[in-house]
Amino acid sequence: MAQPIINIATDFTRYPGGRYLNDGPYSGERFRKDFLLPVLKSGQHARIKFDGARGYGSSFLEEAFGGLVREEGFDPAKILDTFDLESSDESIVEEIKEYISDAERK
Amino acid sequence: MPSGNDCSFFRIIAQIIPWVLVVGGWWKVNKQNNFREKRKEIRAILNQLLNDLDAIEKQAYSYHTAKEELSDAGRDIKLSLSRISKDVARYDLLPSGKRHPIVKLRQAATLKNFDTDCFVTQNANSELLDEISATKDELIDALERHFQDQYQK
Repeated sequence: MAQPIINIATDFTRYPGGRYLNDGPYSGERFRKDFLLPVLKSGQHARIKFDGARGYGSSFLEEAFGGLVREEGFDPAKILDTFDLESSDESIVEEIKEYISDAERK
Repeated sequence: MPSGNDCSFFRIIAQIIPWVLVVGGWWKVNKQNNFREKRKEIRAILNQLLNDLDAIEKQAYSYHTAKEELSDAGRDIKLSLSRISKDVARYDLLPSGKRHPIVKLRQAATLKNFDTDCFVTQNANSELLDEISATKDELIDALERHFQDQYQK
């Protein structure tokens, strides 16, 4: 079976922004709950494409990916194994991996 | 005593050597010219990038010191940071796998008090603004250091 692809620009929005749900309609928390959690819970793998969106704020990235460890309690190794992060801007991938590795569980 | 064959061999060698020197000299000068052109081109790109970084610093200051959260300005900051990061990658302006200074600048500008409905207007001497300037300077240092390593040996 082909690996599911989450293209943020086409499947979510070209303007991701904000940390929490009340910060806006395309926040990191919403992306985590609607797109990342279902993949992790199903045990599947997915490729996430970051290109096409008009830039990312660190608050969005931290809440979406660091939140998987901090809020949802997933193991960083499992998260890194589940998602292939694809971006022409390698600093985005570097930053996300830092959030996943450094987040502390509640 | 050299034979007739030896003489013609030396004559051929004597004719070839100047040509080898001409072609070798041309190759070396051409290589140096290309290197100088490339250095000039990268220097111009780098200068533009330094201006863009100054502009981002100003944008981020305006955003964080505004009386209320300015979502359009926030959008511009994210887009500008994304463009800078892509330019750095496109022109190899930092060593591959060492994009930390860009990450740090993005974090300083957009991790806290950004795209939030709990926006707090920052004072001119706030730690957040200080961090934006510090990380911008750090990125400039890294870019200049890499340029010197590559083009000013």
